[in-house]
Amino acid sequence: MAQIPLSLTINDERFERDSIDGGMWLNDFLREEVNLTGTKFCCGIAVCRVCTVAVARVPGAHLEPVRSCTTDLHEVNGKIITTVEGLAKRGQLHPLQQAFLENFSFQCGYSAPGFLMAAYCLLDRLERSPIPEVALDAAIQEAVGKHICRCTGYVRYHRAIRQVALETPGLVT
Amino acid sequence: MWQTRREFLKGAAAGTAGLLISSLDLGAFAATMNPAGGWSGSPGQARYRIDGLAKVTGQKIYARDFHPIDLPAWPADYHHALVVRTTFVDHVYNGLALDELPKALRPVKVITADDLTQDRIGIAEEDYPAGDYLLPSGKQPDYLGQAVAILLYDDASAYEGAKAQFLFNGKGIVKGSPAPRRNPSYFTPETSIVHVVDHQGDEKFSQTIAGPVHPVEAGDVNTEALGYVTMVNSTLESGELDVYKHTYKTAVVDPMFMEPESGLAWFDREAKTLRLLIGTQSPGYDINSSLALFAPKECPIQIDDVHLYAAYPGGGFGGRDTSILCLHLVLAAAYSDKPIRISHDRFQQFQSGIKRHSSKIELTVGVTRDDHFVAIRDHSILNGGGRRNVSTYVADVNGVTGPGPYRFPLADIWVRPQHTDSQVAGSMRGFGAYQSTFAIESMMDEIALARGVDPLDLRKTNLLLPHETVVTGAPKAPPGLHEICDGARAHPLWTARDGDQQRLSDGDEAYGVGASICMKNYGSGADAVMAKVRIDGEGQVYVTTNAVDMGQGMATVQALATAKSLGRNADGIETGQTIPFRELKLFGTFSQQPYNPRWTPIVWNSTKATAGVARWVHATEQAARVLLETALLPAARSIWGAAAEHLDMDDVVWSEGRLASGSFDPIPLPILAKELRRQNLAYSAMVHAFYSGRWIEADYTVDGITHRWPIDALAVQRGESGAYELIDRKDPKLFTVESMWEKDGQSFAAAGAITAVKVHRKTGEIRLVQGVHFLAPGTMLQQDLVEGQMDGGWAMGVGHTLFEELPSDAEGAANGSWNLNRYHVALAGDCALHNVEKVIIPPDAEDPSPRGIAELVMNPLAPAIANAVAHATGRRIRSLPITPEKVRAVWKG
Repeated sequence: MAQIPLSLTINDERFERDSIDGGMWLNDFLREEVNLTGTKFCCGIAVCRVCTVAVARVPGAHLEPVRSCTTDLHEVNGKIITTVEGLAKRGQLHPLQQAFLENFSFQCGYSAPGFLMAAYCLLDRLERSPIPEVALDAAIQEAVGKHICRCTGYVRYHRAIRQVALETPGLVT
Repeated sequence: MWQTRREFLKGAAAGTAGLLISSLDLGAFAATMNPAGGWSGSPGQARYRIDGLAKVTGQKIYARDFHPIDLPAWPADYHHALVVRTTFVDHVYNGLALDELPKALRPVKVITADDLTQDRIGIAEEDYPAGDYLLPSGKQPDYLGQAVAILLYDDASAYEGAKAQFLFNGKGIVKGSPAPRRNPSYFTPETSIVHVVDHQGDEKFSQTIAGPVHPVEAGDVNTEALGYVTMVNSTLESGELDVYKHTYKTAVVDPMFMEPESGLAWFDREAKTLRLLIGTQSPGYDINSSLALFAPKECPIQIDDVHLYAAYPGGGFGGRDTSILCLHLVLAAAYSDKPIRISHDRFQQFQSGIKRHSSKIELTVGVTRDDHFVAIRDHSILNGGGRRNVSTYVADVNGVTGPGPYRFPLADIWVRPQHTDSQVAGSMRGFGAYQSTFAIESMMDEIALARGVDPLDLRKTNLLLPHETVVTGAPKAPPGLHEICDGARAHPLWTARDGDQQRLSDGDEAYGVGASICMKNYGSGADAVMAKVRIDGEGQVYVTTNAVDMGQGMATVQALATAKSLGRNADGIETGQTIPFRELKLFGTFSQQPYNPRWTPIVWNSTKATAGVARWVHATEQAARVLLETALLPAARSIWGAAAEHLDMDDVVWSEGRLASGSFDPIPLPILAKELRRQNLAYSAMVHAFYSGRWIEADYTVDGITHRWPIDALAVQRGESGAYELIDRKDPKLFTVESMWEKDGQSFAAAGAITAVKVHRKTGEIRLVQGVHFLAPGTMLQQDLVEGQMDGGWAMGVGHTLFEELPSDAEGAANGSWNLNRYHVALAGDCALHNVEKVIIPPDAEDPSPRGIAELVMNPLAPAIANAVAHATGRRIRSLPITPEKVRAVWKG
C-alpha cells in the first residue's frame, strides 16, 4: 500500500501524519504508533472482535463498529474514531463502563474493550432508532453476539448492556 | 503418586536467591478516575473487581500492551524476536535457509542451538519443557512446533514479513532426509491407584495405606498391589456382576486465552540483571528457570539477578503456567544488546502454546443385580506430546477422578501420560478431570440405559456421602453431591424430559435431556501460599501476594480477606510478587528439617484457579489476624486503659471501621495505626502457609506473648526502619513426606448439570436450548465471582463438547495455519444464554469452608450434553467433540 497523508480524529484528538503506510492496520496504528493500547489484539483476522472501535464518517454521524485488526488506515482516513480510552468523559465513566464494573461483566478483561465499543455503537443506534423492549435481547445479540470471550460465558456482558439500554432514556420504546 | 510429588517438590525447591519481582503501578490512573465509592463495598464484599477500573478503561496492564519504553530505566530501542518452529517431525531438520528470504526480511541476528551448546546453556526446571530449547541442525524434531531458532529484527515490518514467510510460505527451514516417526513411550511416573474394600466395609488396600504403587514394577508393595489388581479383574470377569465396558476419547484442545502470549526481556549487563515482563501464572518458576539456564559454571553468561514484572494475564486457564515463552525471551535477551520483544499473533499462539491432553479412556464397570457398583477398571492414556511438562500430574488427577463421585469397593486405575511427537500438552482448566468426567458420566447413562433404570437414580444409589473415602482411600468426598443429585432428579427439566421429548421434537429436530454429576480436587494437595498485610500510617490496608489474577477474581478476594481481622477491605493489592517474600528466608526441600524454622516443603506454587479462595485467602487472613492479635488489640487496650487490660480476641469486634468492645469507645483504624507506630508495634505481617489436608501450625512469640497459628513462617515490620523481624516458629506440627499426599491432602468440590438439546435430523447440528448448572462451592466470598466462574465454565464446556478440536499430527496447530476462523469456541448464541438456571448448594453445616470451583464448573457440561444427545437420538457418541459429522455417522434422523 502506498504512503498516504493521514488525518483522523481519535478520542477527540487530531492525529496527522504527512506520510504513512496506508496499508497499516488501524490496530497497529493505535497500539504501536499512538500508544492507545486499550484496543486489544487477539485473532488478527476479524473473527473475535476484541479489537472493535467505533468509527463515525463525520461528526454526528452514526457510529459503526469496526474491527481494527483488518481495517487499514486508508479506510479510516479522515474519520472519527472512538476507542475504549475515549469513553469516559471528564473523569466520569461511561454508563456502559459503570455497568460492566457493577455487573462483574468481565474477568481477565481482555475482551471488555471490544464489547464496550460494540455496545457503544448499539446505544448510538438505539438513540437514533429506538426499539421495543421485547426486541432488545435480539439487538444485543446482533451487536455483540459474535464477540468472543473465553472467561465469562457472555452472561454478564449481555446483562450490563441490557441494563444500560433500559436505563438510558429514549433508547427503548 | 509419591514419586510424582517428589519430583514436584524437587522443582519447587530450587533456590530463591537473587531474584526480584515488581508489579506494575496501576495506581496513577485509578487515582484520577475512581468512581464514587470505589471498588470496595462493605467489609468482605466488593462493589466491583479491584482490577476492574483499569480493565474497563483500557489501561496498560497486559504484557502485550508494553514496550521497553514504558518500563523504568529500560532502553527504548528493542529487537522484535521471531521464534521459528518446525512444522514437521518426519524429517531431519537441516538448519535455516535464510537466503530464501528477500534481503529486506533477513534478521540482524540469528540465535541457534549452536549458541546454546557453545555457552553450555543449562536446563530449566523439570516442569518446563526440558532441553533442546532450540533444536540443533541435523536432528529430527522431538515434537511438532519445536523451536529451531530465534531471529532478531530491528524493524517491525521486516519481522512481520519474515514471519509470514516462515508461517505461511514454508520458507526458511531446510527439511532433511525422511525419518521414521518416533514410537510413543510414557512419561514416568505413571499413575496407578488400587483400592480394595472388603464385604465388611474394611479397607484392605489403598493409596492411603500402602502409598503409591506401580503394579507392573518389582517390589513388595507393587507385588501386593498386582495381586489386588488381579482380584479386581477376576471379580469383573467372574460372571457374578453385570459388566459394562466402553472406551471414550477426548480431543486436543487449545486454551485459547484471548491475549496471545507476549513478553519483554532485557539483559542489563551492567547490573548483571535479567529483566522480564510477562503475563505469567508462574512467576516463581519463571525466575528459577531463567537462572537455571545460565547456572552451569561453564556458562560465560553471568546473571546475578532476575527482575520480573508480572503483568495481568489476558486469560490463562493453565496455559501460562511454565510456558516456554519465558525461556525463549530469556535466551533472546542473553544474546542481544537490546531489549527483546516477543509478541505472538494468534497463528503463532496456536503453533506454540500449551495444549490440553487428548485422552483415550477404557472403562469397565461391574454392577450387582440391584444396581450397586462393585468394581471399576479405568485404563487411560493421555497424550502429553513431546515434553513432559506437567503430564504426570495431569495423569494423577485423571486417575483420582476416574471413578467419579461414586462408591467402588474395588478399583484398578492406571493412567499413562504418553510421550509422543505431538505439540506439548500441559496444565489446563479441568486438569485431567475434564477427560475423566466425560468418560465416567457418559458411562453412568450407558449403564442406566442398559439396565432400564433412571440415570440419576443409578447415580444416587452409588453416590459418595460427605467425607466418605474416595478412590485413594482418603475420607474426602465433598458435601453437596447428594443435594445436587436430588435437585437434578426433582428438577422439571429432568422429570418432564420424556414428555418434553414428545412435545418438543419435530420433523426437523429431536429433543433430548441429559445430566451429569462430578467432583474435582482443588489446589494441588500440597499448597504453599504467601501474603503480606500492611497497615499504613493513615490506617489504609495493603496486601501483597505472589498469586496472579488471571481473571478468576483472585486479587479481589484477597483484598476482601483482610475484613475479618482488620474491619475493612484492603485499599490496594500487589499481585505476582515474590521478592518481598525473600524476607522469610525460607528453604524449600523435599526432606523434612524439623529443627530448621526456615524449612518448608514448598516455597511457592504457580497460581491455580482453584486454589485462590481455598488456599491463598488463608495466608492473607492469617497475616491480618497476626496484626490484630499482636498489635491492634494491644494498641486498643492501651488506648482504653487499665479497665481493658484483660480484653482478648473474643471481646472485640469491628463495627463501621472501628474496633469496639462493650462500653469502650470504638477506635477507628487510623487512630490505631498511629498507635502502632507510637508503641513500636507491628504494622506489617508476612506469612507463609502450607496445606496438605491441614495447615502446618506452630507457636510464634511476638512481644513476649506466644500464639499458635496455622502458618509455617512469619515476619513482621515495626518502627521506622521497616526492617523485617523474623519470628521463629516453635513446636511446629509439620508433615512427613509420606503423610502429605497419601493420606488426605486432596480436597474436592461438587458440581452437576442438566442440559437440553435439539439435534437437527439432517445436518446433525446440536443446539443447546436449556440448562441447569449445579454447584456446591461452600461459603462464597463474593457470589458475583462464583457465578462468573459458572457462566464461563458453562461456555467453555459447551465449546469443548461441540466444537473444539485440533489434530495431534502435522495437520494440527503446529503447522501455523490455525486461527479462530477454523478453531471454533462457543459464542453467546451457543450457550442458551437466557435459559440457564444456576443452583448453588448452601454451605455444609459441618464443613462450610470455601471450595475451589473454577476448574470444576466446566466439567459436567461434556457428559451432560453427550447424554442429552443420546437421549435425543438414541445413539451414543463416545468421543469429543460431538460434531455434526459424528452425529450424522451414527444417526439418520
